[in-house]
Amino acid sequence: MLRHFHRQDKEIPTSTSPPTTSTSSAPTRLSPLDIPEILDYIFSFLDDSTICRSVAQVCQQWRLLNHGRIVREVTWNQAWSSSRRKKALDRLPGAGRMRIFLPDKPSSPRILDEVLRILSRFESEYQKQVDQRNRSITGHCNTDNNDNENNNGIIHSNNNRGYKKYKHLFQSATTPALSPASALCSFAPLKELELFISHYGDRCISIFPFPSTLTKITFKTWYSFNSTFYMDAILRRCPLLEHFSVEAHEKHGIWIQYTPIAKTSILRLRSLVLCNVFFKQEFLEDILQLTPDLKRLELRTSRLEAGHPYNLRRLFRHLKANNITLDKAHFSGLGCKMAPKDMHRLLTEVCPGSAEQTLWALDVTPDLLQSIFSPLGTATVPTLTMLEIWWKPVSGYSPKACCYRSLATAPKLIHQYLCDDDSPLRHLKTLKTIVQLEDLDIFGRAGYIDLDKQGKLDRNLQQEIWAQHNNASSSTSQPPSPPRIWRCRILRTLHIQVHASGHHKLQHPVH
Amino acid sequence: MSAHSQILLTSSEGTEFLIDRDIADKSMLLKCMLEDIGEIGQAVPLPNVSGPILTKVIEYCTHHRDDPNFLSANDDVTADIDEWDLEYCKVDQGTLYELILAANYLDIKPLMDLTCKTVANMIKAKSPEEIRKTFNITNDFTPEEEDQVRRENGKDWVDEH
Repeated sequence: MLRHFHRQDKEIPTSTSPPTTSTSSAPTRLSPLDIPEILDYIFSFLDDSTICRSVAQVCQQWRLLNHGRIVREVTWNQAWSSSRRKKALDRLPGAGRMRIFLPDKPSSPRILDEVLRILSRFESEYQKQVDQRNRSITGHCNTDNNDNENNNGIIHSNNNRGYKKYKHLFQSATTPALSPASALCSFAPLKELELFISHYGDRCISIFPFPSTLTKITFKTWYSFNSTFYMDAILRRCPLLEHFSVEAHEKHGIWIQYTPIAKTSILRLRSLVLCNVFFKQEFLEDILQLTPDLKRLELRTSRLEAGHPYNLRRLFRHLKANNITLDKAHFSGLGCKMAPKDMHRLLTEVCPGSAEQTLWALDVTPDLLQSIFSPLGTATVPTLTMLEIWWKPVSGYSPKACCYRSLATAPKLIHQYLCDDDSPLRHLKTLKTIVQLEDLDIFGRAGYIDLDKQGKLDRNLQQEIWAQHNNASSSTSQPPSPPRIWRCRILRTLHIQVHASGHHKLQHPVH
Repeated sequence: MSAHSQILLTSSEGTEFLIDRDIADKSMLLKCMLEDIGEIGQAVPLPNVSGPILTKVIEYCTHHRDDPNFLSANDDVTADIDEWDLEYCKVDQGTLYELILAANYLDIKPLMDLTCKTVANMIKAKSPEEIRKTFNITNDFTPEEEDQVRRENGKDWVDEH
């Protein structure tokens, strides 16, 4: 919706107005940069980095206009020296986003204590401020407000497990080391937390003092060792949470434990992403009943506890029954292709009108692409303009032999759609995991099927696929040139995310 | 009301422009006005838009007159600007500013988005000093404030990798 700003006849003092001598009778030409609303609208097209590094440093007015837009970020990395880690934590007050990396197996179980300590202080200070505010509003002193479950009025169920329990353990271990909290009287609460733990164990999360002010949590792990993740404890603890992502990138996955939250509660979740987890469908459906604002739901290679894929038909019915219409959705099981019928339901019932679809490369089959770009039985114009491809969702997983045929044909199929003038596809996004140099030609017809060097690809099968391609696509003896995506006529944007070899634990993604 | 009726507009200098109704309807200001009071058979004065700028605005609306996605054309912040639109915005800074003001006044959202996005692109990949120079902005920070702002928002707090 266009914000309609009325032009002002009088000159307004701004930093962009050159000094005027008022000797000319000509009216002063007004610049749109003199109108804060228009300026603010222009800034809305800029990314966070540009805002922070350039725009906010131009002049007072530009700084003030972007005050609410800047999210200051602090990174803490286990691999850093202790002085650098301390320096990072010193910058935490006032930061909006924190990224914590534990890329190696912890040398000491207490390596995280310095982070836990400061987050606990923050939480304690925040709760004091909330208590003061509540007291000033109600005029009553609520003696139960030392705990945080009820303060924000979203979740009213009791939490006898999870954080509250571990908070006691944690505080008893670390409180003596706390410095005076007087310096933390005023700070902006932490809103976003990205937590990467290479070697995940149950204790890491169970003792972690997630600030109750968080609106976004991204948890990633590499070696999960079938560990358990207590989702309900975090949902109870962070009632403002809007984006929640749990991702395991090694084939064993994470087991999610969940104790149903009271049906009277409403969660603010707008985005839920679960990658390579084991999670009961009834628990997922239980959460969906509490999330009327949900717009993004991704279950990447996630499955039920027995390892079976989700019953998508039932899940879609459940979403519909709860009046949830998604903007973005993805459902895939490890090694299980999504049926075209399910894809059709997804596009027409679960997220109609969505402009973006995400597929696992194994799912890129002619039938499925046909169902995406030319929905059967519908006269509506396909709205999908962006396709995101995950070539390989987890490490150490080798698709079945039959799946390699899908992997081998996927680039060619996408290439065809990208060069077909009737196709609405304009944007392509893809993730290349753990690359080796020779795999950089990721859209070559045969190169990337060998993308997992640890995989047990049948060499005979690979040669057979090669031979089929050469026979099918060229009548001459010359092998066809690879159908490189950047040669596609209608492609407007291509986004490739690469994880460099040797630094493949997601701590330094290269965009 | 005929779908092929024409509307007469008058720019700030008094120049008259006769345009088709469907082109005028791209402006929410004109559309609502014409729907409210009907076609009065007189020129509609646009005192805030000069003749050359009105010509450019009409050129834009005419090019997009049959665009079914006109109102959502530039909703995607990350999407590239269409080639024709890109050429259209290759004008001097003063004209671009006037186009923004005209798009705002006439309430033409796609043109507003396009021109604002163009200015945003002029800001990208520039240092604060380069931005000041480009847009003729005075640095009103004191040295102390500038140092503080740089520490808060600059490289000092971005963790080096």
